[in-house]
Amino acid sequence: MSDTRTAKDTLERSADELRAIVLDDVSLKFRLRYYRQRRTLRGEIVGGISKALRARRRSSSTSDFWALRGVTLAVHQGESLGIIGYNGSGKSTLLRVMAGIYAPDRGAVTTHGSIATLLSFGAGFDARQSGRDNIYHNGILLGLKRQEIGEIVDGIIELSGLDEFIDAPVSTYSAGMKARLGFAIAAHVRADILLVDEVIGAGDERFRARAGNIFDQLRNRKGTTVFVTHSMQLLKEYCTRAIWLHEGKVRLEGAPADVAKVYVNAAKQS
Amino acid sequence: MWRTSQRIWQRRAVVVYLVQRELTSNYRTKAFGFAWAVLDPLLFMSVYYIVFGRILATRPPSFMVHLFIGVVMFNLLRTVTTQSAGCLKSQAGLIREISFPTAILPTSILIARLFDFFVAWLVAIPLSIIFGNTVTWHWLLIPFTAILQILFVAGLAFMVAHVGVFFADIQNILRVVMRLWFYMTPILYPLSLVKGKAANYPLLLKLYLLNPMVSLVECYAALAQKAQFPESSMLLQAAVIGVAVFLLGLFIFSRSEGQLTKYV
Repeated sequence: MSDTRTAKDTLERSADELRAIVLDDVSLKFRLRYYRQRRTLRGEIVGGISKALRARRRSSSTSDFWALRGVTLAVHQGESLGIIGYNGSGKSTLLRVMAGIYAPDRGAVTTHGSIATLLSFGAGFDARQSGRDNIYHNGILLGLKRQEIGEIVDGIIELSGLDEFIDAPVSTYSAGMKARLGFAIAAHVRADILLVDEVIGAGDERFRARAGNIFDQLRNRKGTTVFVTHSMQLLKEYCTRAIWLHEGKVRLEGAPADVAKVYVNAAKQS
Repeated sequence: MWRTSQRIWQRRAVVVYLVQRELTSNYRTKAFGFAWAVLDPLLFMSVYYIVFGRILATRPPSFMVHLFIGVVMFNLLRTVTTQSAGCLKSQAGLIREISFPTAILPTSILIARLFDFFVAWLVAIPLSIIFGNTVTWHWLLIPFTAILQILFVAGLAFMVAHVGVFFADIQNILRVVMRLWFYMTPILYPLSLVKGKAANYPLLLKLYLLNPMVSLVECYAALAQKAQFPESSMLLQAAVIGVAVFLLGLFIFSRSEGQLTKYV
């Protein structure tokens, strides 16, 4: 009895090792009251008291917005998963949960391997500092040593195509330039998992081609990519699997071409 | 809680880097540079001495040392808490972009300000000699008192960093609270003055003595000025409150770390 159990455990563990990211029934809420523009002391006190009175009857109030509602998903090593969906369907939130930036309110997230992220058009950059300084800044926060960054900094500048602008403050960069720098950093960190939000679209054709090369390289060394996109072309080109996220739930999962077809048709009809 | 401390330790290289950045960005742009770490408490001490020591003629010159130590130790509390209150909001872009333990932000602020604190204590040695206080082996025990204060300040820093995410007004409130707290701590005056005046109001005196900064400043003063071991009651109070506030702050912060990122 105990033997079969250990055998089963080993099996499950080896299956687990092939999985880069596992989401088990993940839900996440935003408490809208923290975002209210006009917060008054009276409102806070009244709200606090009524909440305390209500607490025994209802645990979840109407002021919560559930961005993710029971997402169960496994991303395998070497896979390139594309996420599509309407604005506000929870795509970016899902990436941040995978990255470990947001902790889920329900369910569990397990990841295997190091993670690099590219989630915005350079929001993580310090705009007053030069692109070069920001490479070091982001690299160190990602867990690299100064010396390690020194070894990859030339490659990052090369891939970003920023040339002499690398020493200009990031505040002078265009959205595309910031996206390229961010992507170049994320690509050179050589993480096992790369999470990319709708950013590649901001680069020009030349940059897209380079990004494609990077995705291919990553796949070749069994790296995992998850990326959010609104471009069905990019989805079909680079993804091995796709999911359609709708109102915080996985609506459809399958081959990129199939999911894209259903998604585009649904979007046209609505 | 243990996990949060572990995560900070794992990313200690990040802390070192952020501390360097904090210090250089604070001093690099200024003509006097690092000298401000020394000038700042010296100038404050001088202002207070002119007002309270000369104009009001209430204190002897040896009181300068008491003033200096008081200003230095209070500065650690004031700067760390006011900076920590806004530290998560000001790094919102980064927090939502890269996964790293956010606890390293208040931690880095604390360590950077400890640098100022340490430099100021080095200045306190010659200052003591100039103003006729003897520097004895008791000074070697000052770091132990400092550890109690650091625990206390770190705990508060974690708490206000947490509150600052949801309640930006905390920065304005802290400014007023810090001013009041400063006057409620025996820095501009000796504790004996309060004890004398409040002799008829034992309850008020008890309340006054609850202030953990009172026990801390008394511990420092005993070691640095009176060349004696701190009163055991003062030391005990400083230790208990220091450890309790630290654990509470770390607990509050670590419990909500994954939630804070949603609202920064």
